[in-house]
Amino acid sequence: PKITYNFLFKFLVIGSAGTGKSCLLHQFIENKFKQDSNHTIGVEFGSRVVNVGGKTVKLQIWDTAGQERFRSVTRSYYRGAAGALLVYDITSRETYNALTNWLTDARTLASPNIVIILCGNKKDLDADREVTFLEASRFAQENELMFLETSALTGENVEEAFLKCARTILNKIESGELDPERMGSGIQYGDASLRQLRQPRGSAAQTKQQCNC
Amino acid sequence: MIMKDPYTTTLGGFSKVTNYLFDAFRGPDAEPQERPPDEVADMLTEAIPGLDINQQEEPGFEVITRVDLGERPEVQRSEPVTQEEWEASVDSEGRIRDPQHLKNRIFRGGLCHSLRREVWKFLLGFYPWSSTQEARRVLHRSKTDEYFRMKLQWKSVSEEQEKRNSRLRDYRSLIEKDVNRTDRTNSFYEGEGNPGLILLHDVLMTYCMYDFDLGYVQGMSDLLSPILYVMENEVDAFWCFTSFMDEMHKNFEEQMQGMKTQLIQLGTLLRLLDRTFWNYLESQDSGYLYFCFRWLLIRFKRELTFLDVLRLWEVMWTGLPCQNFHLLMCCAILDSEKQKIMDERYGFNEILKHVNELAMKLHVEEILCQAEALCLQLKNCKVRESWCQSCLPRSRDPLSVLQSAPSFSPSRNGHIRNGAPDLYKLAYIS
Repeated sequence: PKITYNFLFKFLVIGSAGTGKSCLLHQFIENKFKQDSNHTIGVEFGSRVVNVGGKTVKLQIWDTAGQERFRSVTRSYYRGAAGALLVYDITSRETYNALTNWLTDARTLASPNIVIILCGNKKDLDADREVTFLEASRFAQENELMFLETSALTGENVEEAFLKCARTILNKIESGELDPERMGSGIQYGDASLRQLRQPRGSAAQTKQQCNC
Repeated sequence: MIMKDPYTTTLGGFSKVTNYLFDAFRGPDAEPQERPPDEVADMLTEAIPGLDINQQEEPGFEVITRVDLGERPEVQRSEPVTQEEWEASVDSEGRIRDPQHLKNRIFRGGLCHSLRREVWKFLLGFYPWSSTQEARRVLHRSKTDEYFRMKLQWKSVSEEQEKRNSRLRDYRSLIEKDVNRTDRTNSFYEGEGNPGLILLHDVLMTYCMYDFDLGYVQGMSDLLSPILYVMENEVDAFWCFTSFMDEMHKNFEEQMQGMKTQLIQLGTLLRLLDRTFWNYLESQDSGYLYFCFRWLLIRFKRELTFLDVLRLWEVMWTGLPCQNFHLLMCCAILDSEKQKIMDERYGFNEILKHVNELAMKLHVEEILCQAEALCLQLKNCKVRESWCQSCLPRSRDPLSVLQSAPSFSPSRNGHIRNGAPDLYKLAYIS
């Protein structure tokens, strides 16, 4: 049987090569660390239905290759994303220094209203840390990002990162700050919502866009 | 070869249809010539009798609706080339007697594993087929010296120097990351401190010195890994890898021009083979075929088991039965999936997910049979001339397809969209 949901959010996982983007996605979806994982070529895809503030939300997550060279391809997947995990590696300053570029890409190509959470990944490797928590939280504040340090290895804060981002989007929908019906919002109504709304506006178009993955 | 006006300037060299197909490979700047639809239809009917021309009243509507491809032939594969066969094909001085015959055999059945280390060096052009044993010994010695000279170049860069060389630093850092996550379940690369990992790293670093402009791009470790596994020697692996990279270079360059060209060519073939499926892909915003990106960039390396990759690559390296055979492999795989994709009404996301999930479920011999069958089918069909010259030229130069490709400039948002309007021109004019 198909799981019904109230909303569908399109998410991105972006950041430099080797920061653990695919492992974060794998940990979130499979609840385990992906040993011997390959580096991503092109784009991969995963999804999970979660419960946020009493609503059922399906997260459709695009995981992209990190090397600069591939941006011309990966950027085509940015269109209409509602949320993003912007990932750096706390043991690598160069991945932290690249954040501004990724941020610009996300805001210009996805949507200016995209909700972004900054993830300092590999929290378990504290001994090799090159970026302090304080420094990154300042960066997050200056750029209006949420921020968590995560570990795809232990699973610490991984679920929280995705849920926090989803919750913020939901709040913005409820406060009217985000309009799910605006083109390219990265948000769609699920069938559960359509039933509740009874007389949904433009329901034909929305039903057509639903998918099974 | 880029043509400004396919209808007036180039009719001499190519058939009308060829020019017409060439239009698909031009740059985004070239505007189609205004021509009355009926005139174009006449021209096409004249040139390709198998085409159904559907003249719509509305200008800009598609005019080609069907190409008669005929029956798809049955294809048989054979057993791999054996040790005895190989030995019998080498003369007393070590020359290969009949390289063409041998390539045909390799195309048809591949090589038994014990032969790969030796024969791949010929297939990849490290050793000329006509060379004697003695000539190869001399060549090997000089190539060994050359390799270690380049290896010493990066080996001797001090930490202080590297601090002032950001490109080398970036290459090194990415190579280290990727070596740690390339084929780690294969016995040649598994576990910590496996010597295979050091070889993989060293060959990739040396390649940076060989081609510093390109350096290291993700995907290259996937191309090297099977070669190194077969060669078990860094010098041989390096030179075989550089030959393979000569062919793949454009895919990895800054603008990824090779990838863009191939995706457009693949689109042309798919449309020719099955208009309905092509229209479906377009209706799902999937006409750019990004879901084939990984297939093309690393030649199915992640889609097949390791041993199947070895088989596929040696078959591909024969250059038979036509150029760009790997594009027909893409067509063959999609051909077996298209019904499901359309029946289940997969959208943009699901198509990508479905195609990604085919990885490790595909069978190399089956795909090779289907792709060869498609090739024969196309060769026998009435538009043969046009597709041969535009997508699968039979020239000896493996880069001829890429050389005839247009140069694109990425649009502002970085989309590879530019090719699309031209693709339409293939089938819709005015």
